Amino acid sequence: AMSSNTYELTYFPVKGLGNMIRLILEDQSIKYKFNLITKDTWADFKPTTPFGQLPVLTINGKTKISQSHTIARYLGREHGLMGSNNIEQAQIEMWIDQTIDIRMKFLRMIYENYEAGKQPFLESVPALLEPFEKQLASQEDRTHLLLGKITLVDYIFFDLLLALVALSPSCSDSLPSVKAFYEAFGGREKIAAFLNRDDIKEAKFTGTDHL
Amino acid sequence: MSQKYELTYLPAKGKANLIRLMLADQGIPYKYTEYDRANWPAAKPNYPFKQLPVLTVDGSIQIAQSHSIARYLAREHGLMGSNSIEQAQVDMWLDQTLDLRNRLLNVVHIDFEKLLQPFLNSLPDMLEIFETRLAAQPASAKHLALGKLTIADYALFDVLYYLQLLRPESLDNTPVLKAFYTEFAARPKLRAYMETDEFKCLRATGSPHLQ
Repeated sequence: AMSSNTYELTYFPVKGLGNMIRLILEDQSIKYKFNLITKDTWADFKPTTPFGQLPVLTINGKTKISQSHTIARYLGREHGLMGSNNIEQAQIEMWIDQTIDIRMKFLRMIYENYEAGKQPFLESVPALLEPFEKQLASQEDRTHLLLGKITLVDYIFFDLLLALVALSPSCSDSLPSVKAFYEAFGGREKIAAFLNRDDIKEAKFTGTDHL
Repeated sequence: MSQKYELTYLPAKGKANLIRLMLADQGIPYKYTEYDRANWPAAKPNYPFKQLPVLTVDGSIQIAQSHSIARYLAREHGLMGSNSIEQAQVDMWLDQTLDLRNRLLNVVHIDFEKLLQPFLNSLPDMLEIFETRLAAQPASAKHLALGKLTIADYALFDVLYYLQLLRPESLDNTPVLKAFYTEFAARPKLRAYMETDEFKCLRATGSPHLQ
């Protein structure tokens, strides 16, 4: 469904929690303005945000939505990526929540315990991804996690995999369905074009020097 | 007669508390089943992600992840706004509140000695967001989103409950939050539920640091 809303996405020049939102917007051909905030401009912009955090999505020039996954879920609902009823929406959301659990473990390791925590985290990745491996293997169309079609969780799971693969290129080697999903999704025309842009290639995954 | 909803969890308030407070306050009937440490391991494979809480709807549809369960029930029962933008506005306050709750639970479960003081140091800034928000609302409508009761209010009450368990003086510097808590706790069905032996005898978490 095409929305008549105008969107402005404000974020820092990192992939971080904004990248998954941009993957959705780009792949779904949703027009948006990207407002880049740097260390210099953040101090002035911060008080205008709901929680002093980015990303923020500004809808129609006035409604500001904060929290990256809230923004993603909103765009998912607006663009037919959340199933057809409340139960399907809940199932998509629970798989998204599962990606959030993994992402939070990843971010805690990167920001708080990289030296000692990197190896144990990498060793835990196959077990963390196992539900996704099983789910993909159970689908007729293994390029999508749920409902036999693209849903919001595909974008978010792919974005998580981008970070995990950047940390360790072989991390999905023992998970053939996840690996196939990753390659197929990354081959989507607009996704590939976006990720290949110079500014996106240069954007680090986190605000740390580790990734 | 079988119930539409069955909520399954472990013997603690934990991540199910928010859901149970909301169901009680809304007068929504449900079946509650509990595993203990002894019989949970064998039952794990029956649940998506092998984790609890899980909400089973109509006897067979399983929704995992406490945030997704909360959002699903909120949508079913008019606590999530009336359109997609309203849902996003509730959702972002719900996310922000659940962030705080999850940080608190991480302190308790991951490394209490190391994480407690940093958490307490960051608490005033985290509470300030909610204090300011509620202070800006009219006296008759102290709600986080949409000027009316939504799932975000239950989430706020839940995290304030846990904060005061951790440190009874947690709300001493946030009078508006303190008043919100007192008023919310006086809601008749909520108060009745919190006065039951079942509620009072259920430990807060499985950790000795928050009982």
